Amino acid sequence: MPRGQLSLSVVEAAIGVVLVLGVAVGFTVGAAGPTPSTPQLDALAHDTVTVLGTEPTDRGRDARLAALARSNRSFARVREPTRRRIVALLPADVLFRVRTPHGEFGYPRPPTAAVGSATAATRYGPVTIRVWYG
Amino acid sequence: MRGQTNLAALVIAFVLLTGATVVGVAFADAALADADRNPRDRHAATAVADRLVAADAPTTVRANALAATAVDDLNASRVETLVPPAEGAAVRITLDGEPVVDRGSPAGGATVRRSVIVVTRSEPVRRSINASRNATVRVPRGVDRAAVDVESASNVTTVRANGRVVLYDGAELETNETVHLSPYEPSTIRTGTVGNATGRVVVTYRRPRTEPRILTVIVDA
Repeated sequence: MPRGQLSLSVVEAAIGVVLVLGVAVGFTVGAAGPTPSTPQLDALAHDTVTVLGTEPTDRGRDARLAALARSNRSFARVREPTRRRIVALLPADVLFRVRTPHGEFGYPRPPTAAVGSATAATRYGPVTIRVWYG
Repeated sequence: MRGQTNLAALVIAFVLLTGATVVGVAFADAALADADRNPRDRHAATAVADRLVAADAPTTVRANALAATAVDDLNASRVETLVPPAEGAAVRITLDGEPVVDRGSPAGGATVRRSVIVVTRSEPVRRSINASRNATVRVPRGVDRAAVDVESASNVTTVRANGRVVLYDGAELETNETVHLSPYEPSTIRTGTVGNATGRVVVTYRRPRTEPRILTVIVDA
């Protein structure tokens, strides 16, 4: 190339590569959408909330969820039995975190994993359960 | 000279373009493989699981609480009646790995897991109240219903659970009824009488025991 110019074919090829890669990126970004695991995780979180919301505690007059949200003392008392109950309820490969008006417990939430969540309104405030594959 | 340089550039261009196309198709294939390729299986499996744990389903006592007796009676044709999308498909339903329904052998298909509790009821516990002495029966926490038999007692007009009137007849109760109790606290069952009551009121209840289980539904249409 005596005039120090790029060959026209190479320029065309570069444009072609950009075009093809653009289509490929469109596939990966466009087809990703919601992963199929999220409805499954939402269902598991919903199940946990439903079971805890209809199950009486060992003492007291509330369901477990209401007992968690009622007061600091009540929360401290039922936190450990509830944690054990959730561990028994969820599949072994699923981890959880529970948020109540009086504090949180469970596993630290990973920053990137797909998370399913369910919230139940009790008469003392909302209780949220988040679950993810650990 | 110039013509040969162009030929080399053309070859490089073709190599680059072919490489990019291969990478692009690989990306597209991976993206398609990730996407849900059998939405019918997934829909059927989700519908079966949803229906089995619904609060008003014949298999449950309340939402997500399966009755052990109903689970024992479950079979493929009952599942089909309950959930039409499962018709004709290979279905496998397990509780913690133990097969409940197994029709066909689903190879692949869609899997849905749900958390449930299975409620087993104990043998009936019978307690009787002496109607003439105004005695009470204490029903433990967790029992949500009890049968109250007043047929062998006379002059009993009211039956109360924790002060709430559950049975009443102004003249005289002559019945054997199932009454609903609050499962969140122990219930005290007491009778109200007119004049001299005689005989016994019999209260029968079954103590429920719950066990957490994982319900797994696999459907391959």
